[in-house]
Amino acid sequence: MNTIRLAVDGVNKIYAGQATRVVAVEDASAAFAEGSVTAIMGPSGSGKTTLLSILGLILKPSNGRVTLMGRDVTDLDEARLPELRRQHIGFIFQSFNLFSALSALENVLVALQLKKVARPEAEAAARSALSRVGLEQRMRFYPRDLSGGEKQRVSIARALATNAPIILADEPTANLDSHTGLAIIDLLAELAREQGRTVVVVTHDTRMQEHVDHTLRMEDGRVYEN
Amino acid sequence: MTYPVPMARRNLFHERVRLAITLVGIAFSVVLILVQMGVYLGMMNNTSSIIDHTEADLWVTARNNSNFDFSLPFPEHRENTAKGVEDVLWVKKFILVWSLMKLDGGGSENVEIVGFDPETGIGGPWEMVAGDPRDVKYPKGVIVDESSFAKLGVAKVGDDREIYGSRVRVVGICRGAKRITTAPILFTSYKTAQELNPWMAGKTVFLLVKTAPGADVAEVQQRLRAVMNLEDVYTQADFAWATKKYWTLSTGIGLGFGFTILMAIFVGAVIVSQTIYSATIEHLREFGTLKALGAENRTVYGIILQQALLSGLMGYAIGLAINLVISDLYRRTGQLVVQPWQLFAADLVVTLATCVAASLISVRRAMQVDPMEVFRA
Ligand SMILES: Nc1ncnc2c1ncn2[C@@H]1O[C@H](COP(=O)(O)OP(=O)(O)O)[C@@H](O)[C@H]1O
Ligand SMILES: [Mg+2]
Repeated sequence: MNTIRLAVDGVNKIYAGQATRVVAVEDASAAFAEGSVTAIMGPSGSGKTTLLSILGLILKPSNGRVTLMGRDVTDLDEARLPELRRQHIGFIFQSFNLFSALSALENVLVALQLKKVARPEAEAAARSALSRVGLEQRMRFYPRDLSGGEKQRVSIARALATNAPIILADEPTANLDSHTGLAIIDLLAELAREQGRTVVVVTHDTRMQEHVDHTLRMEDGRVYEN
Repeated sequence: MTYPVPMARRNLFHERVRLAITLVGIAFSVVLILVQMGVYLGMMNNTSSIIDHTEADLWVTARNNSNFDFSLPFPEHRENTAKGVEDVLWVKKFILVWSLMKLDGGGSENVEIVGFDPETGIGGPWEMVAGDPRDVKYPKGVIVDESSFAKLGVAKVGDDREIYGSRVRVVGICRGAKRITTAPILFTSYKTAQELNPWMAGKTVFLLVKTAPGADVAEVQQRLRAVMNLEDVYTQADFAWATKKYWTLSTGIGLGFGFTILMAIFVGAVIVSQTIYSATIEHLREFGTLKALGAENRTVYGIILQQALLSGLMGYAIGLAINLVISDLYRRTGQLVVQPWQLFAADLVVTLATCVAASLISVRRAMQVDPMEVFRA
């Protein structure tokens, strides 16, 4: 069996407001192995994004443990987390989240410069990542001049270029038409396989299931293995 | 390709309209501060120009005068007391007195008359357009400052004028002695200055004191104070300062300029904080994305701060250029505009500090961004 890169164990997340208390994730446990592609499916509001945020060290769980690359990171100081994210995690967002003032190439370069990658390697990595997602002709384009599918490809290139072993994607096809969405899904799954990445995709898209190794279902904050 | 990617610069230039508004705001504030301060310093330089150009270490004045233009006379024999003080190299009597000059077209004009020692030229005009300072030795010879032409009419060497019933002859034209009182200024010999004013007989208005080489000016000042017990003894710098302070505080000048400058800083700060804040709000998701990609908080704040500083620098540069044009227009009207490098440095610091302060509101807002914001549709 492949090594576990990322895992949560008995994780809860409670959003406590003044008068409200939402249990967004309840007693969730899951493990994600090297080279595996996992889909998280479930109705809106079931806690998928919250769980993904916990996996991405963006949100601290109310309780339970988070393990990254074999190391318990639950109680790590807030200040240590950016470094872990840079080294190990790439994000793909539903709304692409590109930097509007930067070209496609620069959008990818930013992720590399955060990792302090030197210029020649950064440029090579960014160009090859953009070529790999089929955007060699669009490197100088700004987000406003790219189609939705192209934007999402840039964001995939940005997540892949740093060689992060883990890719977390939150509904990457939700803002795309079904044809483009399918192409993106194909691409993600293919890259995951060929590069041995650990991919976790939150999606509503049932077509994803043909491409994934595992599917987790979420309902009312609880996680069920399919 | 620029690497690392200059995110702050890209963000700024990405939205040109906002950048233009920011730069106009900053440049406006910079120009206002530079021009106002330049005019103020010019006026203040005028108030003390005669003091500054007079080669004396110490100024003895009647008690409680505190400024040059309205100093009152005291007995000139006090000169002897001053001369007896240890380490006093020389003492010169020096007069500033108000008088009335008849105008060619009828009526009279208040004028300020400076009476200096024509042998040494100490206290006399320092920039001559025509004639020589020593020419005031001629009977009733006066030198008229160019700035007086507006009120007295253009004068030239050889003209005759009338002061208190006495004929005076213009023997020279000088420059740069304009008074803030707006009164025309004339230079003449100490003797003539006394003669032109009946009540000045036997009286001086200042004693100019030069200390011996190597002597400690402060010590001589103390010794003079001990014996000149009916007078005040200022160092040159202190008397210049007292005069500037008088005009700044006793008139609306200080309040007026001070208020305008504060408003300039305030308006600049409001515009900058507004534009930087709205830019930050619009980029909140991008800043959140940066953090998700592993940027430290300080990297994000650094970008906001850089945007502010960059705006500040560009706005300052534009302001500097506009200031050149406007100060030149002012100078053409005869207004002295004094802008030492310290003023430019101080304004740069004020501008950058304002921009940084204005951006802190944005940094606070960026700190409060919900980390999950990045996942919102
Ligand atoms: N910051 C928050 N404060 C309070 N409640 C929240 C917050 N974020 C999410 N929730 C709630 O938590 C639940 C799970 O949300 P989310 O993880 O976004 O679900 P999903 O991604 O499956 O739609 C929802 O009921 C949502 O309203
Ligand atoms: Mg969601």
